[in-house]
Formats: sequence, structure tokens, C-alpha cells
Amino acid sequence: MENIREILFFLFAFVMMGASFGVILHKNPVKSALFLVVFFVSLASLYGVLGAEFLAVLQVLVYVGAIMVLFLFVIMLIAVRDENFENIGANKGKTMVVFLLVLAFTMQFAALASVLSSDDKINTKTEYSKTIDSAQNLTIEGNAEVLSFHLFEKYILPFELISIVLLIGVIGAVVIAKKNRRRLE
Amino acid sequence: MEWYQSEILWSLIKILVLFFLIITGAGYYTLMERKGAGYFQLRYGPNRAGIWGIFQPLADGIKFLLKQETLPKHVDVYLFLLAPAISVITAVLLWSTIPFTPLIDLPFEVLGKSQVALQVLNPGSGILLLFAISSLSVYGVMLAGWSSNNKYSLLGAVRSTAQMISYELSLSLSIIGVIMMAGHFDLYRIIEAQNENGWFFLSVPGFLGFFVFIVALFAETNRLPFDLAEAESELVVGFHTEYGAFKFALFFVAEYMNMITVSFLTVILFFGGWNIPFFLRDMVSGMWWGPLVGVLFFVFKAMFFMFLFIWVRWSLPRFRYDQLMNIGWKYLLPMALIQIFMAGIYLYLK
Repeated sequence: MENIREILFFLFAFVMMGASFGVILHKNPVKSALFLVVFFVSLASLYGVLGAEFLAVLQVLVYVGAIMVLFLFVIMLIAVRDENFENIGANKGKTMVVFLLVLAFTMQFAALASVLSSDDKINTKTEYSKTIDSAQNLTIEGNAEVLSFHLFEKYILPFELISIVLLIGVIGAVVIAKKNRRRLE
Repeated sequence: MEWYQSEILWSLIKILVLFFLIITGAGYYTLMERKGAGYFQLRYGPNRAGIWGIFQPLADGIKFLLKQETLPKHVDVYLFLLAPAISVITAVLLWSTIPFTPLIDLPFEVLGKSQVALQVLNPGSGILLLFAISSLSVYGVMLAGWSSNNKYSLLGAVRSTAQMISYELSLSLSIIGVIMMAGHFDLYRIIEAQNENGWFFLSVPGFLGFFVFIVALFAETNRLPFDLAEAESELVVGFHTEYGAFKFALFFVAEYMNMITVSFLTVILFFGGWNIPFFLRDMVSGMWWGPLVGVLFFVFKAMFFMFLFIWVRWSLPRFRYDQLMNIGWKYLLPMALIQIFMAGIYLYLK
């Protein structure tokens, strides 16, 4: 069983690598967005392999089902043509900067990976149940329950703060859109 | 270990049974639709292939298979071919989480259990998985419209996407009341909760939720009165204008599969799934065929909603696009939010 898990991990990791290269290298914006969809779906599968099925489902539901649909919708509406993008490598300086950034990121990632691997292995088993109150022998089971316990009990303040940040984002978007409209009139 | 104790084998059997059922079901649903349309319009409908046109779906299938496969010149080939596949794959995958039967006693032990239910997988987040898969189906329509390189197709795809984004919100909000009352995402346990407390349809938040749910479903499945994506009087047939032969058949079949799925889903969420009416409960309790009676009721209730899709299609005219958006954002969404609030009050009072 552990073996299958490892095979699946490398399979999805491989797909994710390919897809993320597709996102940045493909010239057609619609196809770039589609590669991002593939990336999100395989990321969700990876969560599923790790046993976090609730997170996997939400990943697909929110990112693939809502956000990427909107992205694609906008891209299709404004109809960007291939010619709007210059060829990769046409601008030497920019290519150099991107290359260096990628290199720096890879090195950092490798350092992080070596630190993590020196420690215990990453826990591949999810907690399916959690004891809330050992005195009353209260336990909760299931992915969603454990997650919501953490969100609404332990991390309630950051959770609410994030929702306020999102609200600010929404209001900001409305304000910006309104400004443009007035100028047009 | 005996050879039949393999989990893979049993999943495979379930998958094959369900696949056969969904293909046949979709085929005969098209016949039901055509027959229904016929009687609504005072004609017979298909009646040549076999008695009551019983072999009509088979004949249609053969026709679609034998037609010439054409590929328009300026399409994006990969996406053009991928789009119908996505539509049909999501439609079939949706059936994986639906529990069609309660636990049925077996005369022998399988995988250490003596009971089995016709459900391929039962994840803890069942209903969410269902919505996640169904949210992928919009890509089929979208890619079909975009890759066809045709104005009408693109217009159909854009309309459909906007429609799905608007209505998916109301759809997913409308089931929150049910989830709150049942206390689970698991479809099996949602039905069991109704077994104890009565149908959710009969409670106030459940009734409101059902109303929003059923209206949003018509938009989600692209059916009249919300079929603006393929409005044939304006857009030829919208997103699948350029598709022919079996590629068209895939879109066609996926639509009918989706309608069957959502009919079953409606019954599961609001009408108690395989619950047996109270006057029959004592009679069948303890009998080995008891669960099968429940399944029979389940299918009958689902068939009513399948009929409802046909009924509405041949009775109502299409909405205008601005009307569609108004209904979605100004009426359904607030109603869904009120429904969540009422579910909270309901749970508090209970």
C-alpha cells in the first residue's frame, strides 16, 4: 500500500511539473490557463493520496470550479492573440533574470528539502480522529470535522482576519471598477 | 484469501453495473423525452423501431456510430476532441458517489462485511465531491465553444459559463440547509437522517432550499427554460454547433446522464432517498427484500423528477438573458441565504 502511495506521488508530481512548465511556457493564454487547471487537479489528487480528501475536494471546487473558470472566461472575452507575446528568449536580459530567479528558487527549495529530509519523514498518515476533551472522552472523526475544529477553535482569530482581508479585497475591486466607469462617462 | 475477496474486483463489478445502468438509462431517457414531447404536442413520438419505439435508442446509437466523423478546418484539434470527453467523463464520474441502495445483506462475507451497498466510493465529503466533479463539467462546454473557432459556439460557451458561475453559487448554497440539518456531507448519512426525522422537503428551510435547488438545476443542466447556451433560434445550437456524429452524441448523452444524476440527487437530499412510506415499514422490516422495496421507491421518486425536466421543457418558453441573470442574482441567491439562516433557527429550536 505504501508503495502504491509513493508511485502515485511521483506520478502526480511529474504531471504537476509538466503542467507548471506549460503554464509559463505556452504562448496561448487559454492553454496556459488550462495547464494551470491540470496543475490544480493533480495537486488535489496529491492531497487525496495523502489522505486529506476534504482538502482535495475543496481544492477542485474552489480553484478549478470557480477561480479558473472566471480566469478562462475573462481570457476568452478579451481574446488575446498569440502575437501579443514575444518569443521566449527574444529579450536576452529578461531571459537572464527569469533564469536566475528560477535557479535561486530551485536552490532554496533544495535546501528546504534537505532540511526536511534530515528530520523525520513527512507524516503521510492523516489524523482521522482527534480527542477534543480527554476528560469527557469527546472525539471527532473525519477530515472535515478535524479541519473545522482547527479552524473554528484553535485558529479562529487568523481565520476571521483572513475573511476581513478578503472583504477588503472585494470592496477595493468595487471601488476601482467604479472609478473607471465615472471617468468613462 | 479467496479470489473474490479482492477490493478491486468488487469495485470493478460495481463500476461496470453502474456504467451499464447509466448508459442504458440515458438512452431510454432520450426515448422518454421524445415520447413525452410527442404526447405534449398531440402526436405519437417515435413508434417505428419495435413496439412503442423501444429500440429507438439502440437505432440512434448505431446511427451516431456509423456517421462520418468530420473535423472542421480551423479548430484547435486537441481541445476540440477533449471537450466532449470532459463532458461525458464528468457525467459518468458523478455516479460514483451516489448511493443507489441501502446496505443489503449478503449470504456470504465480502471483505469482512456481510452487507454491501451499490455505491462505488463513499468518501466523508460525498456531496462536496459531487459538486466538485460537476463544477468541472463547465470546461466541456467552454472548451467546445472556444476551440470550435465559430462565433455562435463562442457566444454559447460564454453565455453558458456566465450562467453556470451565477447559478452554481445558488445551487451550492441551497444544500447547506440540508447539510446542517443532517450534520453530514455523506450522502448515505443524509438519507439515514431523513429516515429518522422525516423528509427535509417537509421542513421550512428544506422546502425553501428545494425550490432554489430545483430552479438552479435547470440552469446547471442547460435545460429549458434556461438553455441559453444552445438557444437554437439565436445561436444555431450554441457550443456544439461544429460537432457531428459521435462527438455530438457524447454531449447529448452527457446532458441526459446529468439530468438522471440530479434527479437522484434531488430525491436523496430532499425526499428521503430509499425511505419506505410509514404504512409499509412494518410489513417489510426484517425481510431480506425490504431494502429492494426502498430502492423501488427511490427510482420512482427520481423518475418523477426526470419527468419534470421533460414537462417543464415542453411547457415553458426560454428566458431572456437579462431575466436569467436577474433571477439568479436577485431572487435565488437571497433566498438561498435566507434558507441558511432559517436552517440555523430550525436547529436552534429543535
